[in-house]
Amino acid sequence: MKNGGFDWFRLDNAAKIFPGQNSNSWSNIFRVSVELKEEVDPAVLQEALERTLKRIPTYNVRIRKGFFWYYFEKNPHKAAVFEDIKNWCYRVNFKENKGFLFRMYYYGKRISVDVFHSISDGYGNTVFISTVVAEYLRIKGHEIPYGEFVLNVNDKPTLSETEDAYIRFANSKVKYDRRSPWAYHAVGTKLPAHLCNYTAGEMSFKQLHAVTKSCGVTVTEFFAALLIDIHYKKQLREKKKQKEVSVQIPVNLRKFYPTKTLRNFVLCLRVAINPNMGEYTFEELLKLVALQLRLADTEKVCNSMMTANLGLEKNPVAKYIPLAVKDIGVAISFVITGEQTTTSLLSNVGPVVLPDEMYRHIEKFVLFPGPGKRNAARCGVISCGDRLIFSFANCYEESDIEREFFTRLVKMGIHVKIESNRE
Amino acid sequence: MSYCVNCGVELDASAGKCPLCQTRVINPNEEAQDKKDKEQFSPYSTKEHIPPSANRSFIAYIISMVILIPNIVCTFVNLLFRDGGYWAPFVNATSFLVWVVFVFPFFTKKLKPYLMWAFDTVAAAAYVFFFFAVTHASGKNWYFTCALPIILIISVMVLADIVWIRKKKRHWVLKSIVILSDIAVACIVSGALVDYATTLDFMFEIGAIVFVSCAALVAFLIYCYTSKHMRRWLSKRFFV
Repeated sequence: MKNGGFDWFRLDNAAKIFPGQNSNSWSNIFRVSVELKEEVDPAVLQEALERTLKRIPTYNVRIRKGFFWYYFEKNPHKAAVFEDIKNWCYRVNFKENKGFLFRMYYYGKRISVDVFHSISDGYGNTVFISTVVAEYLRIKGHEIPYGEFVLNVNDKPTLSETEDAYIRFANSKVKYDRRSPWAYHAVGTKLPAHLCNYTAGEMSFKQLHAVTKSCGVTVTEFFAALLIDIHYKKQLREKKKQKEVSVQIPVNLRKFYPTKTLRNFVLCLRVAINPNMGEYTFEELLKLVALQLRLADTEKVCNSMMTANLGLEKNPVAKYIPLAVKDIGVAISFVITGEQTTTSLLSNVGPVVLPDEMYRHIEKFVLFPGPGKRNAARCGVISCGDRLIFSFANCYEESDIEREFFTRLVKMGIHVKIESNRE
Repeated sequence: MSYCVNCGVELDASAGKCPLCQTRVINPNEEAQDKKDKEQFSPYSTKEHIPPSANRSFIAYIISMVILIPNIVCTFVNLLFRDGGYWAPFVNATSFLVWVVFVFPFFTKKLKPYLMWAFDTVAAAAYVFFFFAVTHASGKNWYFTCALPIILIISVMVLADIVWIRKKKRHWVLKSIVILSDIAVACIVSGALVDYATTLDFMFEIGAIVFVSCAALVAFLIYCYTSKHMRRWLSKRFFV
């Protein structure tokens, strides 16, 4: 390895699965946007991006096929910024966009980055875009210090930022059994390939926190319970045979382990209810979700999950299967398990912490998960200061889930402002 | 600042209707020009970018080449070594039929079932006719008395199935019933025609065996599909 070990990387444990799932119509991709208080200058943004890519080498890559595994190698091309489009998070083709696995967009006052999940997770991408925005503001002449989510672009990248933290920390003697039954999926009129309806609801974190506190749960637990309640009632109205209603919740493992990695370091927990057990009130759902999440969201359980995931990668038989065969296996397993076992996705990146001087230039952050294959509600939560944005990515034309969700919040006394790419 | 009267949420200043319930935003005091200006500042871009899809025709072209190369080789080899007679045309004809049925559909951007049906019927008729023309020395006119009617009957049944399936979404049990019925009819008719036109007298019996098996399955499936009691009993007995 030349260039301080940043010429090529192995994919981390979580990233290995995404290229196999990639198709010509769908990719596992998500977006983080930052809205500034001034119009974005594309030339300055281009400059800021180039400086940041030198600092964060895990983004300056293209994906290549080895005989047994995919790997990232340093991209010799220059990444470009594009004017934003209506159907962001469309599929990633490894040969398009000069091989870059992220796309940076600008529109009005907004800077957005769509990233293929193999290169980073929600936290990593938020750090990346925060660093780009800080650099952008600095080039524009503002005094922005480094720190928190903003990396110093003059520093050299470190190996600890590019490490596969799963390998370092997975050491449980127990392998968690993650088999789960197929879950209910809300259906509707499917949008054509590459299109998706995105809706973002802006609310005050303080207002929301007051409500969740009165319910005795956290913000994530509250949102997960609300999503389950909406889907549970929808299924009761639609179907006789009831399936489990579940929400997949990615958990940032950095809270348990001391790592600086900017690559994937998340695990997906699953909270579910079985409607065949009887009727549930919203209060019951809040309790159930909080209990399930608090039991699973512990270092020991997460470590056993990590160990189970890593076991597949380390399996001597699986290891030496040629990549082409592995890809077929991943594609089949994605069809069988994948979204089949989850009704909805709820990804909460949490609060974005920036240097104080930066807040006055920033309006808000938005996290948009990419479109699902079957999930009508793939949701993202992110907050900056008092502004919390809850977003939906919906691959169906209908907006009943979003409507129910936001009107329920309004009825609880939370002021919600809606923006959408729907016409 | 506008709110949806139906949902109670605040809307973006540029919104013409609520994205959640499609209720129109009406402000009688607003000038038409103001409204137009607002619409230009939509919170999200209105430009769509549809990425190019996989080049199906290129893949079909590659497969065509893969089929073509061994055919050319076979033809040359046969021309060089003619002691065993001319066998390469049989390989070419079979490859052509395979190409029409399996590769040709990929040259069209969208699946065109009626066009494919027409091509497949003509290709199958031509393919059998080729064998008939080569082996015509036997003197029997088996192509027009037997082969062509069988091809046409199967073709008409396939056409009927395409029309029926495309009309509306059908239950898988109904689809199975129709396909099994087709097989039953095709087998009995083929058996009878082959029996009549050739010396293969046992063909009708073979056709009859398949017909009876399929007919029994069809009867069972029809009963399952129509009888609630039977469905309940099956789900009770064979639950997983």
